[in-house]
Amino acid sequence: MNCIINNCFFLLVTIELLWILLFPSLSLGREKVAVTTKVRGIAELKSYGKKSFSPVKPPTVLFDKDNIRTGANGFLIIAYLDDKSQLKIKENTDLEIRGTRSREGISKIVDLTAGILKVEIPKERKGDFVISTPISVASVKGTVFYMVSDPVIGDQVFGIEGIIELKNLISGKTIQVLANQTGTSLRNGSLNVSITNPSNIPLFEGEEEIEIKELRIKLENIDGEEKEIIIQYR
Amino acid sequence: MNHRLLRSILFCLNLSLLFSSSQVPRSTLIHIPPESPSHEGEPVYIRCMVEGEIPVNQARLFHRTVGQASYLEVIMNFEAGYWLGVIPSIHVKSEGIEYLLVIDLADGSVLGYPDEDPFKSPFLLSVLPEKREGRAFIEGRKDQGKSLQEADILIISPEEDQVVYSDELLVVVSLFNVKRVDVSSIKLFIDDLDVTPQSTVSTDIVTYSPESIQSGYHVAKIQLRDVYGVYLNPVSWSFFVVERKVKIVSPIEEFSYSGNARTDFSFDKVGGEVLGIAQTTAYLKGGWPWLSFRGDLRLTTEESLLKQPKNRYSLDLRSEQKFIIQLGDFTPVLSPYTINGKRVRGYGIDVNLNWIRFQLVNGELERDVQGDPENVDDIYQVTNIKLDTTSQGDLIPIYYLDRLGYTFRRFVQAYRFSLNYRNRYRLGLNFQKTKDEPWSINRDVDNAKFYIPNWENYISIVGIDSGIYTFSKFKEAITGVASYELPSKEWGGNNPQDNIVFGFDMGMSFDNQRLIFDVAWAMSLLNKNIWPGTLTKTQLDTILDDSTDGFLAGIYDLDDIIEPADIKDLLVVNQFLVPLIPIDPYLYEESRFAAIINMPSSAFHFKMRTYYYNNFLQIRYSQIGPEFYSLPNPYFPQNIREFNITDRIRLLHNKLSISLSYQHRNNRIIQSVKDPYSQNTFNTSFSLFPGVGLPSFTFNFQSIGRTNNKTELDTIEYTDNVVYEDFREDSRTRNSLFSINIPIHGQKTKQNLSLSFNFMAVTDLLEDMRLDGSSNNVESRSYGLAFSSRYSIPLQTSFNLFRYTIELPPIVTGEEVIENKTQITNLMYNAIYNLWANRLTLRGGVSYLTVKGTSKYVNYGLNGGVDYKIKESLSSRCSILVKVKESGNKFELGTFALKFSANYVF
Repeated sequence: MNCIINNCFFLLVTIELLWILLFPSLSLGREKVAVTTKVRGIAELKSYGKKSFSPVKPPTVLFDKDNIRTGANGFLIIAYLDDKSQLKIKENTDLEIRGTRSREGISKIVDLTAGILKVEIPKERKGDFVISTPISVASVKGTVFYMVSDPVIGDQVFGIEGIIELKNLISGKTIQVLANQTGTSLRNGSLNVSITNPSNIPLFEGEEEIEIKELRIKLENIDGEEKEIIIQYR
Repeated sequence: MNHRLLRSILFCLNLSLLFSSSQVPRSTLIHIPPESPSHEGEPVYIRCMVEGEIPVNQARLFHRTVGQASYLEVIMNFEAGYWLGVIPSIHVKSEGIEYLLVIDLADGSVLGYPDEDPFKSPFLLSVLPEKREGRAFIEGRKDQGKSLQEADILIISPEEDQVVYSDELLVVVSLFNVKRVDVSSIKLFIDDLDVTPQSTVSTDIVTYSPESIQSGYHVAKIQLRDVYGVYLNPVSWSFFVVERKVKIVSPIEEFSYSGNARTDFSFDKVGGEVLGIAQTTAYLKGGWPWLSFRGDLRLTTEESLLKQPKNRYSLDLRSEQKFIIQLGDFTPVLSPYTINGKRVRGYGIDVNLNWIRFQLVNGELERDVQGDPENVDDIYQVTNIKLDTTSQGDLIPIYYLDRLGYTFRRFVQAYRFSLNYRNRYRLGLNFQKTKDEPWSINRDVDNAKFYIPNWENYISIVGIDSGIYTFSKFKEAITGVASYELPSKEWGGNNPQDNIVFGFDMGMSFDNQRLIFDVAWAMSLLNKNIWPGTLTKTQLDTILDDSTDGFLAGIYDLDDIIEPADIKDLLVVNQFLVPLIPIDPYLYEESRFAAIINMPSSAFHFKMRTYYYNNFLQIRYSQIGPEFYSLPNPYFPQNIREFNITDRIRLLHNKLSISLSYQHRNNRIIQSVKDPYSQNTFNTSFSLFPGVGLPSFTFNFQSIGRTNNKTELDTIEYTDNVVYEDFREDSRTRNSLFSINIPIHGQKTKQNLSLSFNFMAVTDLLEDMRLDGSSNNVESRSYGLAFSSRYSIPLQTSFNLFRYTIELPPIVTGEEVIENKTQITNLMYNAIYNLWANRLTLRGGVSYLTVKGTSKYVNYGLNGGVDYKIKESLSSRCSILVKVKESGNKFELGTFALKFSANYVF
């Protein structure tokens, strides 16, 4: 009996060692991929392997497979560590952050269950950027765009800059969405592009920067020389 | 016996104590080597004792990193019976340290360590790699004129010039793209305030989230280095903070200030010598975000008009790092061959627009010192008494006086103009002028005392009575009896000098700073005596040869040379100018390249540094001519040619560090040098740091071979005999060091055990060929043990044991052979206990030191002290040290030291 137990023990140890050696990334800690930089309203985080959500505050480092959701008035900004790509997440959004480190940077995948995103990817992007929804996959080449995902109806992509490749997973069709275009991918498999109606672009109330307004006053002396006083204010 | 070599070895091995017994000097310098191995980035404490009856005026420590040309000067302080000098952590690098000691005695004599030419053969101290625990970023190393490697740091928040609310500031910096960051080196600053302790720092990301920050313009800066110790280029960016409700801040509200005042008093009694020093230091800094100032003040009782100033007054005004004005005492660093850290009293301007930079230094390098009037014969000396005929035809005595004991006021002007293109290409031009002011010294000092010798020993006519006179009394005494001659210049003391240095430095870096080339060149012209003034072209014609041929030295057409009087404000040209002819004309005929490279008044270096495959490889070639002088850089060694190659490798995830280096040094720069020496040094270092909490090991081995290739004995022929002098030199030095550090972490205690062993042997390879068959071989061993403990209660203790043994050749006196071995053993136990939430700290300890061998004595020491923080901004410290010396069953108070200090921060 002892012999069987010992053998089993050694077998388990050997398997564990092989597992550690062959799949170090699975056995060791998950990798840091992004950080939250701004939070308003209700925004919660569920770390991979945990069962419950907890409120998130900036700066919170996000790991591969972390789950984020926002409440009815929630707003969140996430920045990736390799190239500062940003995800601005509106209310009632649920997504999972996935990232794999490589020499080129972080291969980024956002599993968007539902909600509204604004994606800002710098020109010096590192690694791929893919947004995956139950209906579509949007591959990004370096751009700014909005994505609205509804698991029942389908997805909408509003291109602001650059090119987004949008694929409907149901029909398998692929289109390219350019600036000022809107790509629509529906649950019935349809996929099309149209000119963007600006009023349809989602408003991100919480994302505006502090705007500095400028007041310019021109003065002129008797010789006709002009000087300008510039007053900046908020 | 080769006395020169033996003396050198003796002093190199700290046995001036023994040496004193045979030479009977009036004072002896005893150098005490650091007790434990020195680590990179940690300060090194150098101590020495001066035994003798002559008081010490000043003790100075000179140090440099191995491979550097010039020395930095540290004034040593007298503490508890020792002279203590600290080599700051910033200068303690793994390349090793070379240092030497210079002690100025009150009688004008100087003691040095090592004894033989210390500036050319300094003491070499090995430095171990940085400790892996508790490493600190070494401020300042980053800005030493080196171009740093660019760091791929990503600023995530706030962005450059972003406007953020004061309660919403979030600083996020991603280090994702920076490879192999040393986390312990990361520093985050907001407006130069270190906020690292309040930040979250990891290898990937640094975040700082204050609850609130003052509105206005702010600058954030992050500094770091990689695990190889390479300092990466710091990254700075600015942002604006605004209140949620706009408030216009007045300049007065925006103004902020802080400061510190500290006073120290120390009383030391060592043997018969008593020294009491009081010192007050203070600083005040403040300003606005766009303009700041800092004033520093140091007043000490050591200040005296008979010495160079010890007090310090300085004011620094700066607008960011772009425009800096320094007033008062400051220590400018312009280039290695011009001014490089020497104190100046004057002003400095630095305008730095990143791609273009201009630096100016103007001030007094040394103040005028007239001499000590109370010290007899310090200012005047009677050199002769002669008879002379007056206008009436009478013979009267003439007393010939000379003026001595002075130091001229010396002014320096230095300029540097540099260009920098994205840290890839750099070019700097340097010019420096230093000149003594002969008129700063008074010819007549009425209260100066000097001795008048008996006239009968010189002349046959009655002079004045012999004895000590002041200068005014002397003038009264000789009225109607005698006369005196005192020249108005060309006195017997130092001659006034004039010096210019000019040169350039340039650098290139490639492949993201992985491959760096640096070149610097400078040339000097020094006039060693400007009393005679400027010569004319006609006078120059016959300086080096007697023929009036219109050529200087028969080579240079004087018509092609500028009239010296036209440049007298730039440089005084006369027969004392070194060099009068910069290039050796005969060598120039043979090889122009060799003649230019080997100009005796030039200095240059070439350095290549690469960083590939985890290897730091550095190759450096430098040469300093025997006539290169830079007066603001007085400790610059001359006549050295050096080639150095160093490779540092890190293996096993940086846990194993291997360093190999080879250095060749000689003084064969000019062909006429007699018996040039050649020195080869190999250095190997292995360090294993398995990880935090695990034991670490270090092994160093160094081999130095030095020879002058001299094969013949020198002979001095007297009328009745011939004396042979043995100046042959061929020695091999082996120096090895092993140390182990074992951390022991218990549940309630943290302990650390350090063991070290050092063995050094000097072998005279010409031992069998020495005339008297004597041996100059020397061996020394040292063992060190340090055990420190930190308990769960606020108690820290440390126990140190150190034994040093040295064996020298036996002393032979006639038939008697005396063993020449000395052993020093030192035991110390110290404890620190904190009370009242660290407001009160009690310190105490005992020590025991025994010396056996040629000298025999025992020292029993007791020390104690109290630190009391009266309130957060005010603290005080008091300490006492008593050492009793037992020698031949006789007890005496060896050392008594009392210290008190108070510190106020506002």
